[in-house]
Amino acid sequence: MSYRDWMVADLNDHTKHLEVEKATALGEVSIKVQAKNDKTVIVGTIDNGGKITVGEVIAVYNSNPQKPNIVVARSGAVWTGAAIEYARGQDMGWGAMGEISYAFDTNDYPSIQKKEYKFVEEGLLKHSNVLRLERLYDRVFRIHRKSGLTTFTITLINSYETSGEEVRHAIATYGNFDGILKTNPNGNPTGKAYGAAAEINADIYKWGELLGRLNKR
Amino acid sequence: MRSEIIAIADLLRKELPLGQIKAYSFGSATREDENPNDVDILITYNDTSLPEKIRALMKSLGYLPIHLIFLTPEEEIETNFIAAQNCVLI
Repeated sequence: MSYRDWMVADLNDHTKHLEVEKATALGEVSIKVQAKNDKTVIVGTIDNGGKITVGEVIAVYNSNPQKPNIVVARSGAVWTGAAIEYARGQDMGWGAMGEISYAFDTNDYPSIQKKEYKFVEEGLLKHSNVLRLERLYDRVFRIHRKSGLTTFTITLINSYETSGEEVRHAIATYGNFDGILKTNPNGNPTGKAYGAAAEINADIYKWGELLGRLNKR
Repeated sequence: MRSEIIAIADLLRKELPLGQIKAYSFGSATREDENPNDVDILITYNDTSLPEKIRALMKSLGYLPIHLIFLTPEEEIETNFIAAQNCVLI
């Protein structure tokens, strides 16, 4: 079974997806989702749980009989910055299955992304020392700062107890960065997590701590 | 136990040397009355090469999202994760 067909079956499970009236396959890789509020959303799918490139998003965009409102990839996929920028530039949201329902309640599709990312992106842009954000990956923001301050690159980790392995996995996936933002406000990083971050001279921040760090050199 | 969790346990037993890890399920997938959108799995390990191997194995199990957390035994004690999250050994 293809990812698209698995998603159609899952979306039609009304015990899981309470807002969905009906989902039907459309073309080769898309889904037409009719919500219970009468909104119809076109979902483009990418059967890849690895790195999502701009080429894959372009292929989905071009292969659809109807332009997608949102493009979703398999759980665990890592979206590159270029893929995100292209999706948004074509008036599409991006993410995974969990983001589809956001499209039922808005026509501002480029604003659709994982709630965790949206909070961080919008919050950083309100910071008085942030000039602009450069999206390197779904979980990685390069923060360009004002007042002659250097750029500061952060990777988001959303876990209750951030472990050493999660930090090592983030480094292996995204390369080095200046800091980790622990986006789950509960729990604490383990000692091994701090140790793994220190190996690349990075620290681990909670939200308020990061906002303070952005004021420093 | 849910079929997805049984499949995960079977795959880990088949592909990894005996006693290398312990695997636990937690979260909504452990509650029979819920229809979960994903499966949460805790793995305790010592060999740092195993997490990437296990991640790759899980990708062979289909499309249901599986969220993996890896803790060394020391980190598990530090966080008291098994007790705090009502983890079930699988």
